[in-house]
Amino acid sequence: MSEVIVITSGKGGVGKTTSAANIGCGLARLNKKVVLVDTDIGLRNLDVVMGLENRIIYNLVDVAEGNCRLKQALIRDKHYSSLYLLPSAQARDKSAVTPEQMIKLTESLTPLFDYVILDCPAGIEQGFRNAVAPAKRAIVTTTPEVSSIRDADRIIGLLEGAGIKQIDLLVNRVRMDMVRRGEMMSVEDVVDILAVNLLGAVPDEESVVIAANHGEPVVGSDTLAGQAYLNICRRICGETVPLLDLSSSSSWLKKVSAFLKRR
Amino acid sequence: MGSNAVILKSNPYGIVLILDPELPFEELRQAVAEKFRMSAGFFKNAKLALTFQGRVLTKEQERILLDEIVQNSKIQILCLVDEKKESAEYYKKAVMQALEKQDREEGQFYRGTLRSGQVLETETSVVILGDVNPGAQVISKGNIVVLGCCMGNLYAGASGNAGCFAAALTMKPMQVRIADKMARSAIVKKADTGEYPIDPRIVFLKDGHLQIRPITSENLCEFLT
Repeated sequence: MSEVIVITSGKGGVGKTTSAANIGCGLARLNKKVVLVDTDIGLRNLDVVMGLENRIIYNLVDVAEGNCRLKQALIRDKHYSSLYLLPSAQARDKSAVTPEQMIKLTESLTPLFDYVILDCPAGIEQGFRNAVAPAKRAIVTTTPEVSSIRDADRIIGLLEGAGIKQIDLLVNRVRMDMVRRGEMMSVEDVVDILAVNLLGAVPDEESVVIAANHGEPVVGSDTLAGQAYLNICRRICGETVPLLDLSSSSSWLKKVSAFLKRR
Repeated sequence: MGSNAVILKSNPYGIVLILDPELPFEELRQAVAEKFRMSAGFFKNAKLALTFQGRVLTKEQERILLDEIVQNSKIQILCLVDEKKESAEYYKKAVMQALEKQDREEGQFYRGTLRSGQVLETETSVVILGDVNPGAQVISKGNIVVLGCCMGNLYAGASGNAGCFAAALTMKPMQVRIADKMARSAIVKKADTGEYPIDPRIVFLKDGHLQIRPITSENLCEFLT
């Protein structure tokens, strides 16, 4: 039974693309057949985060317009043979495809994959409508900041309006040191405000940025963020995994330095 | 102002403006401006020939009306055609000649940096005075020379000419295609600064394989033979 999941947020820069890449890789790590669809036409960057940008020949718009066959446009990941990317077009804009074309496209993907992950562009315009139209399930990404939460709330409303029943929340870029000082909302506070099921929380770590810059998602690595993403993937698959304690430091080096600071 | 002061007729290569012979010139000028403002979206940036009809104009008046057209639309008027010779065939010839002349004079040069998402397509060889950024594309039916850093996609000999080449002062492209052969670069670690030293290289086809070589006299000789 194949699932079509859209990853969206409303606000830009909260980590939709990073989350999409990590969730895609994580699910592939759990031996699922996954395709990541970049629906951000004109501002594509999922390919860069995945480190696949030099392999793009055809893209989503080519498939929608019938310039190529679907399988010609799918790019296999470097590490996971069950993970594929359908890149978006860079030289076009959001109006190049319609929600109907997106539905048709995902219908041709669902028989081939266990999970179809749609990376949604920021905003609530045509690009959002294109990405949401084929989805049965949504993951709303937000950071613990008021602006991002406001937009996430709006997006949840729109998703409910579009008839998407299962909406999960991913709280990204949590900084436990700031939460402890009372300078940032905790994950619980965010869940209280938005009142949707919490899928997981990812700490704000340098490793995420470094990994993205190298074109290799962080999921599955021994960093806290890598563990958090892998747990999120397990929950997507239906496992019950307890929430990670984000306050624990992942590397022994940090523990030592924290210990030294305390003295 | 009567709506028939100016009538616009067009064919694929040009437009005929039928002007009211009675109207004062100032009103006529406004009518022309209005007409082209309204049809700017239709013509977009077409390159066309133009004929004035129905009224005898002085050189000065012709110039004023042309200015009005240029200001109110993106049309490029390549040449003026005499009323008597007005026929699609003649228009075509006139436009082609003017375009060729333009190409000869200006050459296929592109000034500036091509940014992500921009596609430069040319019928002939092209020289780019600037960089080609990642995500940008140059598609030429002839050769491509980049006087700058090339980090995007190059496609020379797009109509299948295997004798074409691509050259750049700094050659770090994502993909290069010549005729029906394609190569992609290894992904560089993106943690680097993106500052590359100047190292002129040429890409060409030899024995069915893409070769990327420093531009030295030996390598050029090899390419030329």
